Amino acid sequence: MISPPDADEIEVTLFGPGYGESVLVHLGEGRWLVVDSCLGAWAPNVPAPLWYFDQLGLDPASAVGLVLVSHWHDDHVAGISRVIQACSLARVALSSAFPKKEFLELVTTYSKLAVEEPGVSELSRTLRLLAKSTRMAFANQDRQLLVHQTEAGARKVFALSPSDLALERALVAFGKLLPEPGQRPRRIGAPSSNESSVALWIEAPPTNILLGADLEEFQTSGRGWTAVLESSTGADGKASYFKIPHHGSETAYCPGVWAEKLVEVPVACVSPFKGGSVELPRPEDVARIQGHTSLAYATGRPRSKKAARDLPKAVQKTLKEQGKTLYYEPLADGYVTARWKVGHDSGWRVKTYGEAGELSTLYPETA
Amino acid sequence: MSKVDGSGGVGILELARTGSETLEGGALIESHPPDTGVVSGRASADTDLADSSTASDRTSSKSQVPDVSRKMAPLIQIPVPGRSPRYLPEKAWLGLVLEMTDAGFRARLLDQDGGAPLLGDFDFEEVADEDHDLVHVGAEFYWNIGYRDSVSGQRERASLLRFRRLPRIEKRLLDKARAEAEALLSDLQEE
Repeated sequence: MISPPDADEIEVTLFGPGYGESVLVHLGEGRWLVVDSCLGAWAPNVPAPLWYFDQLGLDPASAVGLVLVSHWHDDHVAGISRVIQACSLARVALSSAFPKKEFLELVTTYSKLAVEEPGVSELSRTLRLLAKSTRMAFANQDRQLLVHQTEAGARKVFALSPSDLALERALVAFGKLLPEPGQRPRRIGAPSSNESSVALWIEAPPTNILLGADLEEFQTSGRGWTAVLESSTGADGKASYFKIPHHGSETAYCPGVWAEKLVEVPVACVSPFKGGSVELPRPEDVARIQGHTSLAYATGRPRSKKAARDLPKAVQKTLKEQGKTLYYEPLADGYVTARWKVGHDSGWRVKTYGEAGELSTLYPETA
Repeated sequence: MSKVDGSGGVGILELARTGSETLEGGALIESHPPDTGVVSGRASADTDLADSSTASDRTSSKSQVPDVSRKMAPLIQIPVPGRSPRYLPEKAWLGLVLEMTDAGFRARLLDQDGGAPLLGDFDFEEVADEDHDLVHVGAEFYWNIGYRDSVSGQRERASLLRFRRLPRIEKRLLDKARAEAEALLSDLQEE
């Protein structure tokens, strides 16, 4: 059992790594925010947020004020429909790309095709669950999603993205993923664009928190992180906690964010990703993050564990004859918790659990 | 497979394969109960299957009936009426092609018994020629590892990989999906 944060303590907990990411934020006085969901090694088939609330002895129905589905990719939505059901009184914020014909058509079409598409299936369940509900809000750039009043002041949650241009581009991309009549069904696979991802800015005096989701940078006006920096109505001040976007990838790196939106040495947390041969962050990504802050943490380092020993002997023999090795898909198995006791001016106290640790320890080759 | 004109007018003969349940280079035809359909005796010289001296060493001097283990694989098999080949899977996965590599592809393997997903690399040569056109990112395939029983009762380990041939998408399915999307759109409203 982990002790829940004190009423005057702000907490940010990041789950990962491997294949999945989820963030939980305690806004104060027992009110929580959940961003995305993933499954992990901590408890088979239990979404990370629900497992964590159980560990803290909290009831998600009364504790959670807002659930955000930042975007639709598999590694961010595993179990999200169960989280939304459990957080029955929470407002649910969806990327503003979701309630659009192009996206919904993608969801309903792939739900009908006999192909394995876990992310789309999960979103289909989620959207049908929310149909006709009054709990929804659609997140786009500079939209305020939640205000929570505490004795220490108001805690405000803003969406920093997607911008209008990013949304427009995302809808075009969705349209291109739709199959044509006569085509054979195939999986969507790993779509490259995260244009409609929702990054968050949380005002939690005396500090701010920046949750980067999977928002990428295109070095183009009106898109990605450049659009966030261009906004005059968005985030005020600087954040001392940064959830590094898109698993630390180069494609999500924007120097201006570090310079303009973060304090000099922020706590920066990343959830690594491993899918197929893609592994993030790469060593050069780690080095770049460490160049910006000495307070960098990761939820672990995904490793491929051989599966042979757990297979039937006849299967093992056949695999050996074929010279083939199978590996477990890396599951999320670590998390990083940062707490700030308001009024004590103590800054963030960071604890790591499971395979999580300091970035320099997990990636010693980049030192 | 090899066609020989063996003793007793045997038709199609199946060469023994090396493996955990097969005989290494034996010349004798295994002695089986009648229901297996495998004939007893020696293979005729013109079968060119094996060295006859090996055969003599393994033959009973009293009866001329081969004294071989029942585990020895038959060299000559005769299909038994009413028996058809069957496959006994030990493990079955639904494979999802994640990415193409120089020599083949990498796939996520979903255990059909609910076990943990695995990752594996496959060479193009493991894919049947007629399936090659189906190999692309996002394609699905079935992969089974288990045993295959032949028509004559021989068992061998086998790995079967077949890509899914999904029916082409019909326009009416897309129309229905579009209608559902429009209905869902009207149901998704902010508070």
